[in-house]
Parts: sequence; C-alpha cells; structure tokens
Amino acid sequence: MRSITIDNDTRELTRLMSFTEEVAKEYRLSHEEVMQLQLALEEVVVNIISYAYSPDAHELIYISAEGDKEHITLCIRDYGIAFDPTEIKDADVNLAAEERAIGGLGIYLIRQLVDTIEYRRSEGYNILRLTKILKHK
Amino acid sequence: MNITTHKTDSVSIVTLEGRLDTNTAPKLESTLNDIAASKVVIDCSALEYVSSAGLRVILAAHKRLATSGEGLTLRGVGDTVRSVLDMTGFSRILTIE
Repeated sequence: MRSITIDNDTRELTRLMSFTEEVAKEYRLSHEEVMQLQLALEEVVVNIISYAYSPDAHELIYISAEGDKEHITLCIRDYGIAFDPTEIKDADVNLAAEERAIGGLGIYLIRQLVDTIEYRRSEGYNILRLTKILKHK
Repeated sequence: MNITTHKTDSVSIVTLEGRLDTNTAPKLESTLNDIAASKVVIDCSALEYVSSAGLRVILAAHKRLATSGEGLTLRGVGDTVRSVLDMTGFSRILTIE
C-alpha cells in the first residue's frame, strides 16, 4: 500500500499527481488508467478543499492506494463537513450548451472513471473508496 | 501549462500545452476573456489532460462566444482529452475539428 498526506491547498495537486505516477508503476497501469485515476483524484480532492474544509484553516487530506493485478482502490479521508458524494444526482450531460449549468461535472466524472464508489462517515472522517477494475492488455 | 495566442482579424488561435486542471484553468479563463474575436480555435495537440475545472472554463467561453459569434472550436484533440470530452457530452456541444 502506498499513501500520501496533503494540505488543503490545490497547489498540492502536483505532489498528488506524482504519487499516482508511482502507484501506476507499481500496479503497471496503462496510460489511460493513470489519467483516469488522476482525474478522479483531482475531482475528489478539489471538492474536499472547496467544500469540506474552511479555506482559512490549514487541514489535511489522507490518500492511500492498494490493489492487486485485478483492481486498484484509492481511499481518500478528510475530517471536514460530512459529505456523501454517492447521494449527489448525476449531471445531465445530454443537455445543449445553453442549458448546461457551469459546473456540477466533477462527481459525474468520478462515476464514469471508476467502477465502484463507497462512502462512509466514521469517527468524524469522510471516507471515500474508489475502486477501478484494471484492464490488462 | 503553456498558453500561446495567435490572433488574426477573424480568428484567435489559442494553443495549450500541458495539463488543464484546477490550478491552470484560471489562466486559460483570463486568456479567453481577453479575446474579442468572434471565432476562437483552441489547439489541443499538446494538451495532455483536462479536468472539470478546465471543462468549466471551455463551456463558459463557448456560451459567451456562441451568443456573439461562432463559438469555440477545438483542434487536434488527442485520445486522452477526447475520452473526457466524450464522457461529459462536450463532444456534442463543441465543434471538434
């Protein structure tokens, strides 16, 4: 298992992306799978930074990755406001441009990028587990 | 991410190089807001990654340009970026050359 702890600051995304590169090497992920995990992680972490924590406070976000040949699971933990992304309604991606709301795409994207999303609130923590089934060629 | 803009009388071509994410999207937003041309082409041949923050900026610019001109065209979109545009339905909204 690999893990990283980051501050609630979007500048930490660079470090997070390097972390996913290391995970990618360990689990021999394809270029497409790395991009998909990076995208899912960015969407989750930016939501936490924007909504779970107060922007004025210095807080932490814990990320870990574990898996095997068949799948990879990312676990993202924060101790901010309770928020269950699995309860959010999907954005309607079939609307024309003029009817589209600006935003609301992050959670929709996460759902497209991974195979299962599990959320639980435990001892003051939001715990989100994203699992992706790996397609080895 | 590097952004370069090439302007002619009728079209502005904005070339993106690198990653369009939460941190770089505001830079693209301000570039696009400064463009007065009615037609804007975003050259994505060297764009490696796009997240929802980047998509938001592109959609907002497209809406603005569509009311006054021809909207936004994406050019040279690679497979990685294309897959994100497809899964979000942006391929149907934007003109992709």
